[in-house]
Formats: sequence, structure tokens, C-alpha cells
Amino acid sequence: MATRLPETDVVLLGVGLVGSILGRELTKAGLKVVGLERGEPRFTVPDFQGPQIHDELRYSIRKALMQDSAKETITFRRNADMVALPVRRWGSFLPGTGLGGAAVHWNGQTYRFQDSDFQFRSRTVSRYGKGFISDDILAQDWGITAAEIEPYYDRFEYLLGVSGKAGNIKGKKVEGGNPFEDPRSRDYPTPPMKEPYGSAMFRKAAAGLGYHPFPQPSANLSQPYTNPEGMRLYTCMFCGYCERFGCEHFAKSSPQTVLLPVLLKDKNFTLRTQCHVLRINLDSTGKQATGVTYVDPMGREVEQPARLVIVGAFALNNVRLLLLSGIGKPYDPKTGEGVVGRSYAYQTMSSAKVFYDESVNINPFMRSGASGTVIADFVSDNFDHGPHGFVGGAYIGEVMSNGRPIEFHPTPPGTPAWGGEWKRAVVRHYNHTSVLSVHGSSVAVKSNYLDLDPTYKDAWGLPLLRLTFDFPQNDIKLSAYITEKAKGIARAMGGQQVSAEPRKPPYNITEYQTTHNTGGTVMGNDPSTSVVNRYLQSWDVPNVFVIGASNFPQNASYNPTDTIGALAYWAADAIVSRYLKSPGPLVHT
Amino acid sequence: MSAVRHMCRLLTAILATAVAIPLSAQVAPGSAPEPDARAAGERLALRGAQGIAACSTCHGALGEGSVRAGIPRIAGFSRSYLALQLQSFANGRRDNKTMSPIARKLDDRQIEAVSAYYARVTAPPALMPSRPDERQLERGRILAMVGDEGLRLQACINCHGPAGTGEPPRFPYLAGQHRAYLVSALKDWKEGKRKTDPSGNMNEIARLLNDEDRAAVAAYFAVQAPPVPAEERVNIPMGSIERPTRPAAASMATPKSTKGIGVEQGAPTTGGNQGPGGGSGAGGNASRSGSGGDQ
Repeated sequence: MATRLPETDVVLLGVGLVGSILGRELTKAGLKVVGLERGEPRFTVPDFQGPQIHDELRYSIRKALMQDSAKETITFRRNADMVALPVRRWGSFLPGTGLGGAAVHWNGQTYRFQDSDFQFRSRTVSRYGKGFISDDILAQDWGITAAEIEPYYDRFEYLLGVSGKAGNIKGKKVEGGNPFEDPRSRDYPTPPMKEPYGSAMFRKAAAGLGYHPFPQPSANLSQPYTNPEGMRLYTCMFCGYCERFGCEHFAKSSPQTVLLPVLLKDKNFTLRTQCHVLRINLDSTGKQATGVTYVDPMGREVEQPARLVIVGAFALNNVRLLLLSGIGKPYDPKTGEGVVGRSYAYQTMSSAKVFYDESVNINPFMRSGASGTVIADFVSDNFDHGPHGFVGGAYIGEVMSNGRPIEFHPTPPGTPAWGGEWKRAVVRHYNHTSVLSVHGSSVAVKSNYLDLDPTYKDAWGLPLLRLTFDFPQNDIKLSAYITEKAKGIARAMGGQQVSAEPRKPPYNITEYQTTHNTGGTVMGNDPSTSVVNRYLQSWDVPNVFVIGASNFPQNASYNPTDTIGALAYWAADAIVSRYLKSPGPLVHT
Repeated sequence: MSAVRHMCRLLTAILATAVAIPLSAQVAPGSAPEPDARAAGERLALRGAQGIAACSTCHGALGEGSVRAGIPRIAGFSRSYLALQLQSFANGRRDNKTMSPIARKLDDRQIEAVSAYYARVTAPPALMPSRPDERQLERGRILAMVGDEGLRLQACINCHGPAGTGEPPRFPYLAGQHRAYLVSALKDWKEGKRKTDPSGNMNEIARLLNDEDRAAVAAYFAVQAPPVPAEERVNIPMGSIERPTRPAAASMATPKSTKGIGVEQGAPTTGGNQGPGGGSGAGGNASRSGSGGDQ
């Protein structure tokens, strides 16, 4: 029998990026907030300090900061005719766990989505006509515009201290920034990071081909910075141990470095770590949440009653928590009805490599998680899709993040995969290879979705989340077209040899691609195609807000974190300025 | 560190290469100084030149410095680090009333020569006049090896190498450096008299330290064994499976650092079986699938 605790105003499911922001905003509004984090507490000192944090085997290969797949994992299949099996070791993506969440071990690439992403369906239809989007694609608008979300992007970027170069301030184009971005209210808080050598060669080649290179916006800082919460951040040292690791230098923006020290001092905030939420509890009507039930570090079941529930776990876990709690109608791919688990999308990654002679030293080990130079010429709807028959886009950039010895072994096509010849090739090419990333968008299609697995259960006896996914035809076309463009830039970078291959099906879940899993609790203006309204409030249970990349109706060309942070501030603002005054649905249909 | 070292032993040719390149790649072409230049450096260090006092007058023939006078030990700093300091004394990025006038008299060749000389000498560890008290040493150890979350202060060893033995060529060793010099250096950083860190992080860090913490961290490093000269460590030829001929420090203690956090999922693994795509944003092993990735 669960122990029942006194009621609190708010309970946070997950204390990562979303939980920290909501915790801060809601305690500031005078509410008592309990943060439930299933993982361990951890801080820059002592947990992320050298030399142990540079243990590539522990953190990058054995994935020490990631969700423990022996306790909770997902099952996977490529299509509904297959039997899904559990993922025993994370491969294609790496769900995080622990205080600060995935924002501890992210790379810091901090991009805004464009208005053409937020109004994806309507702008595509208005530019290319109704028949342009293929029938299997669930193209949807988000219910917000870039102009509406801009102040929240701004707020989040100033919290992080993002280093970058604006391309459009209040409608005025700025030389050297991203000319395709929507107007921003002011420049980035800190100037761009130093440009690595390979990125500089990319810049020159891309500009020579008529593209518009700009520095990648980075939450690894170019200089010391004090954010509006009074938190001081320091300069990134280009150590090459960014993604999959915590930052020892207080240089990467994470909840620990930008917000948590302030939040933890607030007497209205209680943090409980190693508390694993089993479900959100509903009253007898099913229309009102009464709190959550979790397992505490001693293995005891505890009920935490709360008036407001914020679901801010990793995207996949947001979806699973709603399914386990019976909030919203689960998606059924046969009928197309239901919304929870619908519109799962990913990211369509590919790359091009430039192999130089031995006089060109790339020094890949001397990189930051988010240094480098990119172009947005093929992002979103920045080019004419008419002749190509696909929607979406990709950025291309020389944004290498590391040259770590276990993981980085570039070899030209035709090199054997093992043995003496392979070793000699790695020695020859290690320091003389530049890699371009092609970071492509991902459409939601009817056949890709999330639901509860009928067979496999987690350590607490609850069904695992089942992922059914393969790359949609649209994204295969996209990758073919834009990877070819990347190859053209690679050729212009002056190497001896170039290799590039677009993304091709089938989806391989054992091969790392990206941790940008999106959808499943998407936002929108129509309850029949979305789980939450434009304020991220559940259509079915109005005192539950679900926030994260699970809100994305489809995934855009850029990395998702900036948009997640902006959505968190957007939802917090709606809760504080509107919901608290009159608890109930913020949008009526 | 132990895990890293263990890994070093496990992996052979590839890792040796990867470790070797970062170091060798940063040494300027024409690595070994010509014998004439070395002789010139030795002359300047031991006898001085017209209007220039011999470096050894204060820093000692072996670069041992002086404990009492707070004159830094410079033995075995990397050539490029020593040269950068002299250039900085000359151009004002380091502000020191003794060294700045001397450095201004040196031409580029003299700077190169004398840097090459002191980069190769080995000085014995200094004898401490008295051992600092244990409480102070413990505070110093924590700041040096772990940092202080409340101060938002990172561990010194993050940049200055395991146990403070340096990360040549850019980051000087602190282990075995004289206490009084470390205290005055931290004050200079704090007051902006040193502008040689383009990241600004050393100035920031020094501002976080109060008098007691400055004294503690200086005391801790002063009683550690100094490392062997940087140039003797950077000696793994590219592509070879040789190991360094000498360890970084004569008696390098295993750092009493933290154990780290999180879970280690899955079966034990080696670098070979990660399959394509392990390399994240850098493109990884995926030479044939052509796939990139990031996080």
C-alpha cells in the first residue's frame, strides 16, 4: 500500500531542462513544487571533474549517464508486421537520466526553428498546393508562430548565454549571421565560438559556391557570462569531451550551470532524486489528475498528491507516462484514430568526409560540442521544393565535436574494416579528415508510432514503450538531394578524396545517429490530431501539462533543445499568467 | 585517471596514435633545436649577454628557481610555453617589474634559444622550509583535484594535467612549483596582470579564490613531485606502438579524485566492436555507411 504524502501545488515528473525551468517559474509564482527525478543527483563538482570525466570507455561507450536499460528500455520493430524486441544496449539514440537530464550531456547546439517549421502544413500547402504533401505524411501546424515564440527563445538563449551571430535583428539582416532566420529581438548574449580549421575551410568552400555560411549557435560559451539568474559560466576549452559527458569547466549550459543552484535554494522547492514515477493518478471522472505514484529509493511506493502535474521527462518517457496513466486516447494506426503515440519522428542524418593529404592538420580532438560553421540554404523551406517532391530540409555543417580515440577512426571507402591495413589507414587519416554533417528533418507518417508493448515489461512490471519506425520515403529523397549538395561543398574543400552517402533504409537502431526523438504527445489546435493544446496542456486532463520534444508534430531540420527550452518558458508563462487565475482548459474547442 | 591508463594499456596502435598526434601536432615544425641554438640558449641562461643578466642568476642553472624568493621553477616547461611567457613580458600581456625589462631586450632568436634550454633541464624537487599544516593541505588538495561547487570553481587538474603535472605544450605544470610564486601568480591573474589566457578562465578562477584558498592550493602543489621535462614526455612517434620512456612524474600519486556517476550498461566492450556510427558528430566509424550523427 502506497504511503500518501501531503498534497503539494505542483509535481514535476523529471528534473531536467523542462523540470528546472518550470520549477523555477512556478516557485517564483509562489507555488510549492516537488521535483521527482528518477536518476541520481549530480553536479559539476565533484561529478564532472577531470580526469575521470574524460573516460571515453565509461561515458561514451558504456554510456554511464544514460537510462539504465536493464531496468527500463524500449522495444523496437520497423513495421507493424514485425515482432518488437527490447533494446538491451542503446544505439541509435541515448535517453538520458539523472538530475539535469539530457541537457547535462548534450552538445550545446542551440538553433531556433523557423516559422515555416511551426506552420508546416499551411505554409507548404500555400506555396506548393494541396497535393504536394504525400498522403502518408501527417504534416501538421504547431498552433504557434515564430513571432509568438520569439520572446521565449530569447529568454531561454539568455539563460544559457548562447554564443552566436544574429542574422536578422528585428527584420534587419546582419552580415555574417544566418540570413534565413526569422527576426530575433536582439543579438546572441555572447559572440560566436572560435572557428576551427576544418570549419574555416568549409566556410570558404560554401561561400565560394554561393551559400551563406554562419557560425553554429553554441551553448558552450565563447567567453565568461553571467545569466539573468546570476549564474556565472566560463569559457569552453574545446576539450572534445562534450556530448555524452558532463562539462568540468562550468562552460556548457545545463540545468546545473544555469538554473539549479538558484532553484535548490528556494524554500518552495523540494527535490527528490531516485524517485521513479509509475503513473499519474486520475480522479473517478478521469478528467482531473490527483497527483502521482512513484517508487522511492528504498523501493517503497509513495503517492504524492498535487494540484498540477508537469510531465517533463525525455520525449519517449513523456509518451509512456501518458499511456501508462490512461491520459488521452492511444493512437491506432489501423484506424488512424487516437493521438497519444502518434506522429513519432526522428532526424535524417548523413555525412560527407573530406580526406586531406598529411600537410593539412584538422586536429579533431580540439573541438567543442557546438563549434563549427553551417549553412541554412537547405533548411526547412529556404529553397524551392517544387522540383524535388519532398518536404523538409537539412543544415549542412562542419561541426565535428571530437576526435576521441575509441570512436573516431575515419577511413576512405574501400578500406578493410579491420586488420593491419585498417590500422594503417586510421593512422594516416585520423588527423587529416574533415567530416560534414547533414542534419535533416523528419516527417511524421501514419506507420511510425509509439505504443505499449504487449509482451515486455520493465523492472516494476509495467509495459515497455514500443517503437515502430522506419525512414519515410520523403526523408530518403531529402537525404539523397541534400547529401549530394554536401558532397559538392566537400569537393570544394580541397581534399584528395571525398566520400558521402545519403541516409538509406532500413533504420538501424544499433547505429548511433542522434537523440532527437520527437512526437507522441504533439501540440496543436485540434484535439483529434494533438494530445496537448498550444499551451502544452492536456486536452483531456487540464491539470496535466506535457512539455518536451514529444510536443513536436514533426521534426525540423535543426537540433531541438532551443525549441524545448522556449516551449518550457511559453507553457510556464501560460500557467502563471492564465491557468493559475482560472484553473481549467486554456483553449476551448 | 586509472581507467584512462587502463584503457591506454588495452588499446595498442590506434590509441597510441591518437594520443601521440595531439601532442606532436602542436609542436612547431623543425622540432629539435639546432645544436648552435641550444648552445646559445645555454650561454644566455648561464652567462647572460650584453645588458642582459644571466637567467640562472635568479632561476638557477637547472631552472630550479628559489623557494624563499618566490622565483618560479621553470625547469622542463615546454619551449612554447616559456617562449610565450617571455614574449608576453615583452609585449605587456604579462606585467612584471623584473621580467618585463629583461624580456624587452631579448630578440626572437634569443627567446627561442633560452626557452629550448630550460625546456630540457631537470631540476630536483625543492626542499620545503617547513611542511604546511595538514588542514591547509587537505583544503588545497580538494581545490586542486576536485574543485568547489559552492564557489563554482573547477579542479586545477582539469587543464593542468593529472595531479597538476602539466598538459604541455600549453598548460604549465603546477606540481612542485614554489608556494610563494603560486600565490603571487594567482594574485596577478586576479588583478589582470596576466592576460595570457585567451579564454579568460584563469582570471575568473583566480577571482574565486580568497587568501586562504590561494595559500592552500599553493601549499598543496608545492609539496608535490615535479614532473620530468615536457619534451621528454612528447616522444611517441606517429603511428608507433611505443610507450613514453618516462612517466609524467617521478612519483605521481594516483589522484584521489571522484569515482564518477551513473550506470555502466551492457557487456564489457572494446573499441573494435562498436560498429559503424559510434563517432557521433564526427562521423565515427561509419566510413562505409556514410552516416553522421550528433546529439
